[in-house]
Amino acid sequence: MNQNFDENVRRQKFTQCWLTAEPSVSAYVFATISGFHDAEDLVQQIAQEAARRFEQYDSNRPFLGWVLWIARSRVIDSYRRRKRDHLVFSDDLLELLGQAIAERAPERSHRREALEHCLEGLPEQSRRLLNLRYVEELSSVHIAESVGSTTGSVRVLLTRIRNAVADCVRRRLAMEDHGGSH
Amino acid sequence: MEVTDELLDWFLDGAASNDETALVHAWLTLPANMEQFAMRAAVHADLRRSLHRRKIQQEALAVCDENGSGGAFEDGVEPARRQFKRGAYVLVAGALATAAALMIAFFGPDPAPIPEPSAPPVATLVYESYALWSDQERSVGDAIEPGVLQLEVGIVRLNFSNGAAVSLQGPAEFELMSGAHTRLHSGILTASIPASAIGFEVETPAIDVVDLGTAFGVSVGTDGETDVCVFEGEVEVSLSDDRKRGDTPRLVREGNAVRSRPEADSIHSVNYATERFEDAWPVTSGVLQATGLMKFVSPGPDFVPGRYEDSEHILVFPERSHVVLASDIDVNVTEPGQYARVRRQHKRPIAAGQTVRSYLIQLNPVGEFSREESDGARVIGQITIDRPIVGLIGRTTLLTRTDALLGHPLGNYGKARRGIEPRRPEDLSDSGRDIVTLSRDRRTLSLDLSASSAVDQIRVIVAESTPSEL
Repeated sequence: MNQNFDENVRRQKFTQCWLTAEPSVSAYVFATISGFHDAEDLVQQIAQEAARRFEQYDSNRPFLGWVLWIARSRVIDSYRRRKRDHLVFSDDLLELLGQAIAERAPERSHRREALEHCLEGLPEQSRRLLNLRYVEELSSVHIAESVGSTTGSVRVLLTRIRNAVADCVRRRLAMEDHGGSH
Repeated sequence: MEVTDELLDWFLDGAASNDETALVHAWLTLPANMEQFAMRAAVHADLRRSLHRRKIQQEALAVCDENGSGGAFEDGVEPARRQFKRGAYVLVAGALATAAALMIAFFGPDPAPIPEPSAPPVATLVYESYALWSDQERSVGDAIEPGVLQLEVGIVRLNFSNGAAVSLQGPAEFELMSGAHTRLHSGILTASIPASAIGFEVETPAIDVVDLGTAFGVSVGTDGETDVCVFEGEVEVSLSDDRKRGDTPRLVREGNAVRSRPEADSIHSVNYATERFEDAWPVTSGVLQATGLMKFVSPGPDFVPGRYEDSEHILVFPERSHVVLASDIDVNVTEPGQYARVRRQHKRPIAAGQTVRSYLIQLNPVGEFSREESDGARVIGQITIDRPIVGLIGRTTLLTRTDALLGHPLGNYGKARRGIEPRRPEDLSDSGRDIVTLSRDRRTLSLDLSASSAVDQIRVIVAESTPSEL
């Protein structure tokens, strides 16, 4: 009976841990694996593996660090399977990226909330471009074709929109910090 | 070369050349640069997540508006969503057209005029997944006029004004003659037809299909060979030439399939096989998105859910659609929230008068698991449905009681225990097993299931319409 209870507590804990860590894991995987679908599949695999091996996780250490360690192994496996002819992240860079993402993790949920507000204020044409990229998953080349522009213009515009969004998020977080201190 | 935000974006988009990639890799060896890169990667990932979520919501709203929005769930939706009222899809279409015009103005010196519609629209494009059109660009929210649609790849769903829902899987050529008369020249189509659209017709090069209130799939090969597979209800089929001569059509009932060719002089029965429709049918039946660990299964004849064993996936079976509730039905969950198992019956039933559809969600691992082995059969998944979920049934007694009304008409559900209720006294504690979460907007159901020796089943009840819409 106790064993069963412990097991159930562990499952619940895993779900909580995963929900908190998942945005960081996704950022890590999407930064290292090109192709949205391959990256999505990999995040699912990482979730499955983390659930299966959760009993090995030492709860005295951060869960994100542990799950990013699994993610790193799966990314390396993916590189091997694909036998890419172009450059991929070295093991060292994968390690450094994991550390950098883990360091920013505590503020992730605030950032994502701020992002929702910032998207609301985005001009319609900017949101349309972002949708073509992230929802329709078109490359800059195809976006350029569909809107009758050049790839270079689309690249520049997408970067400007991302910068605007990132600036807006920064401003909102700064305002919240300021408001919170009073 | 300098590493700019633009180059980082280019790199994160997977579009950088080998030289550019080498440059970024070298630049990333400095910790401060890696931190900047991690922030940028997070912006990309968060944008993608947020925009996807918004799109799913928008699609659900488009479907909702197409059928008219009900008032019964307003307390469960977010304030912004309440602003959408009946007919708002016209505004969505208008906003998209405005955005398209702005885009043209933004990128090109000669903005093209938006063409005037030549005929009244008969349907609305309410969903698309990786759709590429070969004739013209279309977006979710677009009104579809009579004419030919050429879908190169992907899946789309059209909601007709009369209530019919049709999903097309590319490559497909589909012609809308009117709101009730269509022709599939090639490709795969699945349709769900409510009583309001009985008589909906799909012609093909070989067979004419007339719906009698049902759900069915039609597939037309490049040589015109046509298969018709009836998931629910019944349809009339006839050879295209016979129909012209006025011959009596043949009736095909659910769980049956027929085939013919353009030059053939008869329609013959074939084995009922739903595999080819399993990509398009979920969309027609209202499942807008399912994660990789959820698998959609079309029920067939002699449907016995317990015979489907799968240790890797949570299975989703569409059961019934367009069921008008003659009396209140008792369910276990009616409110958004997280539920660790289903312990007690909710006091509020689903009220009589609503039109609902149902799905059965099941985790049934291969073989028998003892309690100690239950580790091997734990699956987490999520589905998003186009209409609000109004009730969940997770207890065996209520599952059994609703089988006749909401279970698949051909289903044999057996008498074994199959709910996710606590099975032992120790399960009564807040155990964290079998967690079910219904989102605030009632469209998304997240599941964390672990089946041991018994099957885990949950019946999901979705509102098709509310009494005010009937």
